[in-house]
Amino acid sequence: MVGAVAVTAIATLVTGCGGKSKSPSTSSAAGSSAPTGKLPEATTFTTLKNIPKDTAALASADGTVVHPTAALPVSVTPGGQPVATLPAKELGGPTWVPVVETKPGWERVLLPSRPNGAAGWIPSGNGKVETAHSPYDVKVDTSARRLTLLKSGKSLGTWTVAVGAPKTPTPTGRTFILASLAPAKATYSPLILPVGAHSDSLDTFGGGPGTVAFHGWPQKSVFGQAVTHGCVRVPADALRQLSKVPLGTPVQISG
Amino acid sequence: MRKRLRYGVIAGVIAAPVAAAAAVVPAASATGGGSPSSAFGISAVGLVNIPRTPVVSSESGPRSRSVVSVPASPLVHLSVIHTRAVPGHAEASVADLKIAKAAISPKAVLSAKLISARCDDGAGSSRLVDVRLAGRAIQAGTSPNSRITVPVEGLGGVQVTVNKQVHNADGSITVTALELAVQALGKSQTIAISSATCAGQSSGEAPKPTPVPSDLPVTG
Repeated sequence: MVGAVAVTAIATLVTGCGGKSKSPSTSSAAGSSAPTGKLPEATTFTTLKNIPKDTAALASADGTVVHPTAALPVSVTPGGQPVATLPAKELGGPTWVPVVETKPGWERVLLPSRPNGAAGWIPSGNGKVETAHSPYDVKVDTSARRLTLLKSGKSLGTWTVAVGAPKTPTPTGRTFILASLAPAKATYSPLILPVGAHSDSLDTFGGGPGTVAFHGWPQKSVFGQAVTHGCVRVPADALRQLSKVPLGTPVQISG
Repeated sequence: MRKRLRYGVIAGVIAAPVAAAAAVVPAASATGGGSPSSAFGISAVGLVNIPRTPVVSSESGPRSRSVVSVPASPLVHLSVIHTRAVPGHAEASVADLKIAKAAISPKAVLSAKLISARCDDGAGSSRLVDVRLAGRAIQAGTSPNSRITVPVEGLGGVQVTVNKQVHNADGSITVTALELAVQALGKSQTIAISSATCAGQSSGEAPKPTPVPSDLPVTG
């Protein structure tokens, strides 16, 4: 089911191509007070108001990732009034989000919506949540312009990457790999790996909601530079390795 | 296994004046990996034997059962036992429980308004409401495996374990809200009330993603 929020987001997406400047957010909703009476979906296109931020933005998650097999309510506190729903699919693929805190019957997960660090509680133990473990960790040091991929704590590789320019920095904090997209026209990368975070300086970019992503880049000269609009451009080998990393895997971006 | 136990309960229903209501929900689309979840309301091993009642176990979809008495157990009286299990979650609750010391002694040695246990993704918790053993109030602490010994006339010291949590070899955890153990007539007797078993969170490795033929304008 596509809600009014998603419709608004899609409308913004198709009309805003090429936009770089700060403009009204793609969509927003305030939980149960949303005009339609329906809860907003927690997607990369939405902004969730009154949702608490991740309280340990640079802490390591334990790799627990969950996939809702049906849309689940998201609340600010365990058992609290729902303020959003977490759909079973994100960007055409299965939703997988990292668990950052647990209480009996409830799991606090990172959400792919704005603001950065948005986290909410979803019910567990209802047969609608598939739980798994990602042994991977992705770490990005924007100062060193370096990406490190770890599996079970052991480094699989470190690559020099391109990060956000000073005016459009790559946002720091804890996020996760949201999706794996293969564009029909691989203009600059055969694979795009959006994460849960968004640019803090651009509300929209290229018609999209300002989602940060890992992807390749044709010119090797960019690696090691702070030249992007927030994305992390990685060498082909890094992209190959990142393509194997499960959705929901935690990504730590430090400045 | 599940079928055999269910028939066992049904046989007990026929043999004793028991009204049992079993609600079995068809398998849903849940796909949680790892060990199956399971739960039972009460069991006893020793001079008094009560099979785990009512047992539910699930490897795929939700399973739940309710019974309103325990077959062929004149010592045990209760209003309802409810058990439920889905992958990654299990729960059991026993309401208005009374256990007599002997069939000829109707006075309850153990009474409880509610004893419940739940297990969520490998984390267990227990709840005790108005539980009294030989007149002494038993409360659930926040930490697991709290043990006390309560003297009971005619039985000696009854060892009480509240919120008992056991980590199993397959990575699952079993939480039993209340367990009583006593030496009676030279034999050991244990009674477990409200027990739930579920697998931990890290039961399976997350899948390698399959790229979706799609595009999203990102902050290149």
